[in-house]
Amino acid sequence: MEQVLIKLTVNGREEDVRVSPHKTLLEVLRDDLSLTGAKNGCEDGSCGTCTVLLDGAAVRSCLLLAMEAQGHEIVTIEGLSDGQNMSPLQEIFVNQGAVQCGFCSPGMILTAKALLDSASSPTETEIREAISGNLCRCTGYTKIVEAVMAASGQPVPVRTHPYEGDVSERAAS
Amino acid sequence: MQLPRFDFIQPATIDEACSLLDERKGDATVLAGGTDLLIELRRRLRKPGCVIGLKEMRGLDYIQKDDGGDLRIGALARLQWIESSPIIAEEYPALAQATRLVAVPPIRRVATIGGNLSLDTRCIYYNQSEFWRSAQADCIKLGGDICHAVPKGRRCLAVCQSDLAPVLMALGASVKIVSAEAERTVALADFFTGKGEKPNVLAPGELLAEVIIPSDGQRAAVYEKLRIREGMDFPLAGIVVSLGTDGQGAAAGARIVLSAVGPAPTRIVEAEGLLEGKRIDDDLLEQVAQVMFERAHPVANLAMDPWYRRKMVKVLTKRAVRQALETAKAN
Repeated sequence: MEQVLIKLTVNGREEDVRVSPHKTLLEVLRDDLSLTGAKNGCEDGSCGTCTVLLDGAAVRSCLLLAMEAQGHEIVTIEGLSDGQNMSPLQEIFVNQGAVQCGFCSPGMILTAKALLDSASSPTETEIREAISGNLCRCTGYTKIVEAVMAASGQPVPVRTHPYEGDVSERAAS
Repeated sequence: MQLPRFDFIQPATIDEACSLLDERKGDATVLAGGTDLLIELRRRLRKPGCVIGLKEMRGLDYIQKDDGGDLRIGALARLQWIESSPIIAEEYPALAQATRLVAVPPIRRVATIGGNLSLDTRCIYYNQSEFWRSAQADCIKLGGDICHAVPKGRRCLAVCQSDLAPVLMALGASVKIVSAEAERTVALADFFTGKGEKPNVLAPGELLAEVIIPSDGQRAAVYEKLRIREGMDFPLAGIVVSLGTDGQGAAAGARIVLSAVGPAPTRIVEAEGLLEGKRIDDDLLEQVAQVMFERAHPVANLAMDPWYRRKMVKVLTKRAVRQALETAKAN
């Protein structure tokens, strides 16, 4: 049960880390590499906020041992921006109001990135299916789905606020 | 919560994995996808000294037809491969359909068919943290002698949570189990023991290696699953109906499997018999659903009222029979 030296490729950089075999990828990213973008949420796979990209596909980093991630390309939310500027996908999430507290955002954005990399213009159903494992407790999924649609260049459905407009007119219809 | 400490070994071949399992019999556990095992380790439901990682192992990661026309799926085939496999979409669409109802895409990308079949049974009094469990006496599944779900219960009725098991059972599948010394093939019906505390026949040192599905002909199968969170959740009740038609619209060769209401998925032969050679109308459907209802005995061990789960068995049966019949007629 000694510590082992492993090589991880994170956000394009080779990192040498000493880990105990029982450390998850999430723990190593957060504690050893100081990449705290991926969050520790439910610890049982149901919330999706620890999502990272492994060889381009979204996976749960809390359900993967760090040692199992050797030899694979890992991308965390930090890997999307260049350190100064956000990536276009992140910009759109901000502009569409798809971020509130931000706890789910790293997972949401990476899951969306994996989807957009494999399907250029996913339908609303496909988007909802893709993010079905990511829990958001404040923004609401509508804005997030709209952000992903906007990111793929699709028109975002116009939704009027329920209390906007003439109430009597709405009651009549 | 951190995982407990363990030795981690990644064998390159099946032989290596088997000899490791043999060497550390009783102390070793295999990690395939790990999407369920790591949670159990976190909760200290298992305390292996050695974890054998199979993600990089070659030799059990295939989906292919053999010469006899049977489909062979290596135990390490990821669920995502199964849902997107052309052979499975063509010949066993119900397996692909059921696979899509397991968890969510990021989990299906790593989870394996072998892992899904050997999932441990679940119970709200068992699948809890060590701290939570320390507040009460150990139940039967934990090696104690009481049951918290059933007052005075003497048997563990923790629930089988595999979505693929009932479908594979309806398809007549069997599994190949290997160990350092031997190899055996058991029908899926015999793979499950019906005991909540020891849900399958895998002995220490044994490895589930392969799933074998016989050719299914012109049958149609449908899996209906009850769950709370539609996005991802374990089943609270499940029904698989598989049938063909005789050309005049009557059902032939029906198989009905009831799952997620007890420790093992079970074929309900009595309900199957009711459908045989009959044209299915509302009366017959009601009779079949009633039989399923009578055979389902869920107890208060999952996150939904057992009486509701039992009533839903009836509803799911009707839905599954109707849909299977429609698909069979269209075939």
